[in-house]
Amino acid sequence: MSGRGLRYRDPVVWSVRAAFWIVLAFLGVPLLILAAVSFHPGRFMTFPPQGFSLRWYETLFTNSQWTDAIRNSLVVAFASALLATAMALILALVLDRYPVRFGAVFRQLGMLPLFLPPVIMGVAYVSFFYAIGFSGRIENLIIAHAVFNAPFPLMLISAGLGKVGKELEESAMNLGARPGVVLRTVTLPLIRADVFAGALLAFILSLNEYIVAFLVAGFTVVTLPIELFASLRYSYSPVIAAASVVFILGTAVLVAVADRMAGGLWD
Amino acid sequence: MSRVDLVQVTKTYPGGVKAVDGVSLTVEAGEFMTLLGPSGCGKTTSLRMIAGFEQPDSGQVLIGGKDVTRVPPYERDTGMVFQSLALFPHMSVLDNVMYGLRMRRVPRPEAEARAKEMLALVQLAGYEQRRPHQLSGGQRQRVAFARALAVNPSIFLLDEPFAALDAKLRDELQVELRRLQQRLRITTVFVTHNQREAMTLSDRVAVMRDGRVEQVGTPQEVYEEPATVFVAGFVGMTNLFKGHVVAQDGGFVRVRTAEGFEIAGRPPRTNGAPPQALAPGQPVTVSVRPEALRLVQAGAAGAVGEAGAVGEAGTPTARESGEAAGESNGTGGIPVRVDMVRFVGELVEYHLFTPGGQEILCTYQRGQAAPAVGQGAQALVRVEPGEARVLWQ
Repeated sequence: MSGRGLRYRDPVVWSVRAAFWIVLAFLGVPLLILAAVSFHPGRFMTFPPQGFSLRWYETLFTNSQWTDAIRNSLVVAFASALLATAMALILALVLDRYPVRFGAVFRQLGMLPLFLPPVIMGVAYVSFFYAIGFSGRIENLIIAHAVFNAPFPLMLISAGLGKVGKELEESAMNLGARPGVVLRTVTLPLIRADVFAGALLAFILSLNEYIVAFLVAGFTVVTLPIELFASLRYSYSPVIAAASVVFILGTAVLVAVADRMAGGLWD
Repeated sequence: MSRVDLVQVTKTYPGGVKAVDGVSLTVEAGEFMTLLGPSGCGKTTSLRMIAGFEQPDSGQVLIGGKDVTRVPPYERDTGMVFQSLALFPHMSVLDNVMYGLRMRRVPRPEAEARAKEMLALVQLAGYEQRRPHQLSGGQRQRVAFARALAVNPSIFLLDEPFAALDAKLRDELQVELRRLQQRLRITTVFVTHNQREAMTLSDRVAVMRDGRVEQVGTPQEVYEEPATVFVAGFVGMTNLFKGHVVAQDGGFVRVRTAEGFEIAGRPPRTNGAPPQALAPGQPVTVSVRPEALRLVQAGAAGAVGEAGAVGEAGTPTARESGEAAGESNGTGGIPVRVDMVRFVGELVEYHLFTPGGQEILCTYQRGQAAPAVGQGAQALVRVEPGEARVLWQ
């Protein structure tokens, strides 16, 4: 840990510090309540919980309605993260290292999904897939999520390439390495952490995503967020809370891993 | 060991800036050539054209007499040390030094032996398994040398490798580099903006400015026989006096400075061309090195009459020869006020001001009889005979 600094007795300092705890409460308390609710033994979400039971966790991991949703989500997240990262890597390499005309415009295109409302992206994918004659398949959702989440690995990989700089690659070329060898022996090993971090981020975002998923394949491929939403509409079962808790914990672990990877590049 | 020729190379960047403008330069086999100039003069671009990272818009690059203008860097057989050193951070020192050998498909045991030999040569035996970030600045520098030289390149290129080092370490590494270069007899092109570094390392120096080569010569030639005002000012310290030619007699040109003082100097370098006569009235600049100036206490030499010239923007005909001719070396002294005296170890520096406000620097070596003038004193400055150089303006 870095040093704590001096504890100044100043109204600005202590009010900011107080606000910090309030913000933290806003962030944390709903999650704690959710976690508490998930242990409620009754059929409807209740707070405070009347007793302690793991039955809703059991339901989550045994009921095929939920396990199918979890499996679908993981398949889509894994495949779309892989695809998103591959696309981002190609875009970043071309834009940063093998320049093409109008590169800056294409970078904006690559970042566009970040700035468009998911509903519009979803409608675009639905119309597109319908027009080419594929609807409601899991592959459609994988492609849609890959495009939708590609900006994040693109940002991380571009930043990584920027950090690596061009002199290392020129140095390798000077020593006799052809461009392909430079990529394999110098560039990729040095941006590996950024690539992994980008892939993890795309994975998490795909797991979380509801709108695009619902529009593209909502009626045939049920992912975890879709199932959560549907359950909320027809019941108020604590299994929703249990699913959310599992979801939050899983995401927290992945974020921590991604953070560690992007941080410690080579020292 | 091969020679390098740049033949009329020109490189214009997209913004329209001419980075290199018709440069022709030959580096002889085994020679240590420095490209010296301020930032933006085209020295790094020239080096990168030799390495193959930049392609000239026109002109040719020849290595060993062979045209390599269109040959990519990985087929050029040059060994380059970058300004950032560009050591691979994810590889050990040994793998860094072996990299070029592995690219040339040298079998691993052989490559390892060669890399170890190079590391021993730069006094880094035992550091094979370290990572670059575990080394000191000087050690990293030596790894970069070893890596570039391990493949036994035909040309050794260095782009300001010492820029980030402190003065003492830089001095040490300069000596080490020169020793290494002489031991291997390798053709070397070194880029720097540091004129002292250029002088102490090189067989020859090419002084560059605005994409052109202003002068090529041995450090001594460039220092003692500057071809242009820019070279005189950039290489070493100098005092520049603008003025007009009064007359040319014997080996010397007499010049009246803007403030009206007269200085005699040797005529401009001709670069082998027949000497051009300097017509009276021709505007010129006189360069006088600080160590060529001699300081005399005012009154001691009885040359006070010159003080009358203050502020006169010298038309050469206005105050003709009569009164100023005086001295045997063709110059009367210049009256100055001593502004500051600095003791710089091996030198004593006198910062002087003429009546017209021009600053003049005069230095004495340690042990030379320095005049006993202190801050605020009035004194006279004289040019040592033959030490002033007249330059075209």
